[in-house]
Amino acid sequence: MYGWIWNHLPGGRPGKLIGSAILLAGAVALLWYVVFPWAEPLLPFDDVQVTEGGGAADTVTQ
Amino acid sequence: MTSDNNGGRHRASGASGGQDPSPGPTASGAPPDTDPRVTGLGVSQPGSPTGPDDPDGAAASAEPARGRATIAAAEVPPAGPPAVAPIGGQSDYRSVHSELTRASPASMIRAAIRGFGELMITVGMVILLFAGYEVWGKTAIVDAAQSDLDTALSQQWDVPAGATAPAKPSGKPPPGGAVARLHIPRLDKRWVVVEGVDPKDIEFAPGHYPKSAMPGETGNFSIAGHRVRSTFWDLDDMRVGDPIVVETQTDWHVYTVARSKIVKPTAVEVVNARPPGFDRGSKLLTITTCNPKWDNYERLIVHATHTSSQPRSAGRPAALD
Repeated sequence: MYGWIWNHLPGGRPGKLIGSAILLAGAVALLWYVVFPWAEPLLPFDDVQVTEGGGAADTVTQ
Repeated sequence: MTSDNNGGRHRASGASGGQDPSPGPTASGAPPDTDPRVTGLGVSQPGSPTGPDDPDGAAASAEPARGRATIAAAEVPPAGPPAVAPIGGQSDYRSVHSELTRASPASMIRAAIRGFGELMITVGMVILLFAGYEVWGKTAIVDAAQSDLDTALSQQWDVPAGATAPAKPSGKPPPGGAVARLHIPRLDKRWVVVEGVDPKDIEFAPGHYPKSAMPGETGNFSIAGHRVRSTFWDLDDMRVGDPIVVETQTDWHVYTVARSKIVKPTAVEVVNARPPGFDRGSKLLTITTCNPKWDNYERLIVHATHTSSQPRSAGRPAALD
């Protein structure tokens, strides 16, 4: 996978390095600003209420 | 240039050999062979560059040239076009390493294992990045949101009296609105508390359980907040007697930590108006957050009892200094 990407990046070794950095930065930004904020509420790290259901915050009482 | 000349000479000699096979082999020696070739070339191409080159080359090495021509003719029977075709059309090109790099079952298995390994490494890196996001990214996001909320709350509260003041909220604020500021000197932090404890409400701020009492009221002012570094990460550091200060639009309310404990997520009685272990009519403050850190199977609870109140105009309470 990475070998294929490296072979298809243009511009010789400098171009490949720059292209790799751009691709890496784009992937990290996509994860950080789009995927993680979307996925974070779906994960059970941060249920902080006391509820009758327990766990999921479906019915918050009092 | 030289290769072109050689090729032309080979083809010329091959063609001459094809035209009259009998004189070449039978007439032993150079002179009978060279004569028809020179005349033929001279007639067809008078000014060609091979013209001057041919006589001395042919005269010097007529025998070797003929030998090479016959070998070439044996290897490549059609003389002209096949010699050019592989150069022009690259579809038939094969590297000398093609035998070593061609796909075989073993190489395909290796490629699959390598791809799987790269995928697993990638998943690991993504999970590490997510851990970094949870620790540092969320901190930055919540801090920024709290800063905005704090500014908005200051503007809302400090509207000059008389000047188109927003309708004074009678009773409880609408869901999602800011309720109060919460100061915890032990953690050296303060937050804007919003109304509601749904995940959307408490995304960036501690939330007030909507049915619980308001600050300073008889009952239990209950707050839920995330166990993240910018919120209640270190809430387990709270000790009995630590002050917790709630600032509303009109008053300061100082509470003192009375008890902290860990309960099941279903222990809704801790946010009742009268939680277990407290007298009826107490003025209480309760904070709930998740426990342990990064998990959700318990809740960390801090109860505090009301000790004093003072109007906001009287300045900050001593507990904050």
